[in-house]
Amino acid sequence: MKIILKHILRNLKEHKMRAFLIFFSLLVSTSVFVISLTISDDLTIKVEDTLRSVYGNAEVQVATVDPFKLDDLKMNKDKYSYLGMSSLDGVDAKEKPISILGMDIEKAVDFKLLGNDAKKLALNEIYINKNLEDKGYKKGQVIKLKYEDKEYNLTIKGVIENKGIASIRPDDDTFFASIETVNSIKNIEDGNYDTIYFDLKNNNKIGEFVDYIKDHNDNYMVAKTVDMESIKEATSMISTIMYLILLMATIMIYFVISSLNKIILAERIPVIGTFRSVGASRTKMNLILVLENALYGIFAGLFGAIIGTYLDSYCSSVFITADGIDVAKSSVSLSVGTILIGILFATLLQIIIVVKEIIRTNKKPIKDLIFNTQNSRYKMRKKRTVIGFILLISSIILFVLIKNIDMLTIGVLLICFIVGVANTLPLIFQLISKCLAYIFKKIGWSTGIITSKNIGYNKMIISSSRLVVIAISLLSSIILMSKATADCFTGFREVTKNVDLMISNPHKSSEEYDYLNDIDGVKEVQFLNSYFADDITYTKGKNKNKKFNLPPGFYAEKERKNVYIEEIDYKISDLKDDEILFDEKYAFKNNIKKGDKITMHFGTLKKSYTYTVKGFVNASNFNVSRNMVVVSYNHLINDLNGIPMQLHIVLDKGYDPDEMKDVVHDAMKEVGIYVQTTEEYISEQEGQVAGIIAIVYLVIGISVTLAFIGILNNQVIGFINRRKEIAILNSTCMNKTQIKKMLALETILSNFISLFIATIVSFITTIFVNNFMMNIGLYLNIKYDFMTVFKFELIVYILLLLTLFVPFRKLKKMNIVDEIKYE
Amino acid sequence: MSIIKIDKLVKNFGKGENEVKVLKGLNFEIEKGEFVSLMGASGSGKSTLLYLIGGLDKPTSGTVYINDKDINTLKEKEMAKLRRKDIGFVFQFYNLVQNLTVEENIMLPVVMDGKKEKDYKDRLDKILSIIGLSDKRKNLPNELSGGQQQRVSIARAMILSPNIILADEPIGNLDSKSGKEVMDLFKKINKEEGITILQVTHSEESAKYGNRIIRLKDGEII
Repeated sequence: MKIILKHILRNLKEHKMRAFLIFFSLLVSTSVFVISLTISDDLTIKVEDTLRSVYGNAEVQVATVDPFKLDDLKMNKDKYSYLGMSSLDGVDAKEKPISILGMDIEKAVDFKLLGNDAKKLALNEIYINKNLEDKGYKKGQVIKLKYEDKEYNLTIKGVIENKGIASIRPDDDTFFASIETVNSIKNIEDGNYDTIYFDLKNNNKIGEFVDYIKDHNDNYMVAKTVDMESIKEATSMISTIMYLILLMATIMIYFVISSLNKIILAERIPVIGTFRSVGASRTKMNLILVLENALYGIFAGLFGAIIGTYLDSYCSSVFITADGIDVAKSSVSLSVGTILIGILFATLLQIIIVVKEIIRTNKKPIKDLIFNTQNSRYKMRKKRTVIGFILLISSIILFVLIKNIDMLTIGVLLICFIVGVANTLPLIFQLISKCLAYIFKKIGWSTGIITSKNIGYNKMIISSSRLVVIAISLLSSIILMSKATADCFTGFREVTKNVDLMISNPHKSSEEYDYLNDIDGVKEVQFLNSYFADDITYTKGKNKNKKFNLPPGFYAEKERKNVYIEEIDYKISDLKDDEILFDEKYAFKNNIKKGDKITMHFGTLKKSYTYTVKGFVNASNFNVSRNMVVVSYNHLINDLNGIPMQLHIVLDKGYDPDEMKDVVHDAMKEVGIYVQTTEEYISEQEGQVAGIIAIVYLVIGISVTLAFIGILNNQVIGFINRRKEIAILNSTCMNKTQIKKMLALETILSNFISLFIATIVSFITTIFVNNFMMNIGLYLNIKYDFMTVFKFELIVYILLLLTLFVPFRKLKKMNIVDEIKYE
Repeated sequence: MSIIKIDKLVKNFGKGENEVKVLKGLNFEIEKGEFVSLMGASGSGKSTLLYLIGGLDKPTSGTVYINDKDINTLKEKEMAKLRRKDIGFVFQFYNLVQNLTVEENIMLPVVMDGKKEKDYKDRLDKILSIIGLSDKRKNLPNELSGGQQQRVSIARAMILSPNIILADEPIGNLDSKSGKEVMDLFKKINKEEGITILQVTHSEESAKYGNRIIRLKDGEII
């Protein structure tokens, strides 16, 4: 056994490049696998921890605009503890908006909504947190608060830690006071709150409690502080994206390793023969080769699990964007379990990839092995080609025929399609080779005739071409997918190119913002009206109270200024109050057709409306998820939400948006609003997906490197395996220049054909990928951008042609006599 | 008692019109302890016959008996066992595993037989001394001359004390001096170890090292 292990380890050492390539391929796959496995749980725990760090023991939040008392609420429980809060928004001496949050400080500490350093406050005393201290506020400082035309002096009693709700960093300066202070300023009785937090002590009944309050009380906003269902729903989507990346990376790695393995085995055939001649049975030999491959899996799995665990923490931080809150640290740590799973995955993957070829090689008679009587001619297996053709056609037909296709089916069909392509490629190459041979025969070019035959019948060329087709088509799809992600905001940027300022989080109706038109430099104020809620169900035909996969956002426009929503077959301005337009992709996903009558139930609003679907729109400029519906303006304003989602301001020429941003903000004197230039707004939105795009590009980068090294390695080893054939050609009929021409023509033609086929294949794989993304609710609008694919393939083609230098150099050094004397 | 018995052995290559009859119903026997040389022109079928005897290839018809056992009836595992225990092979191009040292190459059949290497330490020392390469035991094959490599391959064939060594043109790739050394070695192990040797050779000189010559012409014994 020691000798066998030595032999195996020396094999790995002697072929460092190949060993590294296989190791690295498996490492990438294992890392992505570990991330896919853990990211969903990690994100869930991270989001939960982050929210718990803010809300402490508070499990349910009930809020209204007008103050209310605990007794006003109809509840189904009497065992709970609660904390009431009352807040007010005013301005300081410099007219700067400030907020005061009033509460029973000691109780808030018990609720862990504030840190232990917070103590009871007297009337008109306030706390600041560390953030405000950093802004320049000091202990003992007196803040002048203006509230409803009266002035109050509030003294900063101390600085408290950034813990609980004091860890939130809102845009406006927020101070913490006793509830008595706030209520006295607001001039309301004690026992009145605008928010009450509940600690139910029994997590299982939270949902029941929330539902009861919603059902038995009007006009309250009731929510779980930590809604695990919503968190899990959101994190599972990210996990699914990682699984898609894993699937594609694994398919590519399969072909890289499989191609390498074939070459390694071909090179080792005489050694296998020797082992067999000294008494190794087929089973023993199979085991030795499997053990060698398992070693790759063990090491790659070990390191892949370690890298995956650490990358997971990076990936999950990329996906969580919590404005103003310190995100909890990653919960995932390297464990023996993760390492074992990583090793098992990598080892099984490697063995699955190579075992068939190992068994096939060992089935050959010992005499053929020991004298390596294999020739370099590719022998097409009819059965394999037929199966490939069936897989290829049936995967496309099934994809077209199956309505409401699910993710798993798409994944399986994608694999079938790729396997189908891989198995039919030799036939395609042989047909092309025959056509080329015919053409070269006609023009009488002997080098061309030999080359064209090699293209269709040489094992190494077929193997390399297969790798090029699969790797490049999958990479093209990944590139188009990442481009679509990066382009998410292009449409929005285009639509808002005339808008200079964007104001988020307004609190008043459109009419109340008329005064903005009077500001010097403001040319026009536009309103973006929409309504988003997560408690919308719908009834359509027999579907009673069905939940949308992703709840729709409602959009309406008073007049058509900017094309946020593209009309397709019906004018938005023609919509009546009981008519609705669906985003085309969203409608397709939810199986909604024109003419359908849909009753929507709005949980928070406690209202139901029945709409007739009049047609479809394209909401890709507005929302990447495309979960948008358009209703009439009157209906949205009067029945759903009278407050605009955003205000868009167009400035007069010559006014600088950066300067006007402050002017408009100061003029608004409204707490909680956020004024940004359009550029800032879009950059912020883009920044939120920058991390995701970075991960995708990282995967592309690694995949391109892997595929390229794999192909380069194939070219080099291909030449080594063909040395005898080349030596015979050189000794009998061709000089070295002719052989160079033959090799060059082979590389030029075979890679050109491969990339041409890859273009067609990538067109179909992109459709598969697009549908997969749609299935998980990401309508990325992946378009087959031929120019992008062409540019990518051109770079790959040039790189592939550069690999010719290796065989050229080896040909120059080759001693013909050495090569042919063993023939 | 014959250790090898060949009965009506036929081997054809190709099919239909392209069928070539390489061995045409051979019959002969080799006694235990014999050193037989198989001679004939290129294409006479001598190497094919050797591979059939060693179970590396299967006959079209006829039987090969080793120690009265019909080797064509053996299962793959039994055949592997036979190759490990009863037969040692020596090839023209040595077929050593290039990344294993001299002693590791020699011990390969022991490992394949699932035996403990330490149990064969003395045997290894003895064989290394017989082939005269005790000082080269840690060397890799590419650090040895052709003759030395062939001696390693003979040692590998001997390690499990087989009854038979089948050698396919063992000195075909060697200079005359190395060739003589290898043939002397064969003679020595045939005499001292009592191993039956069947060698395929073109050389009349090396054929004379044996005590019997079987000549083949167009697939028949002449």
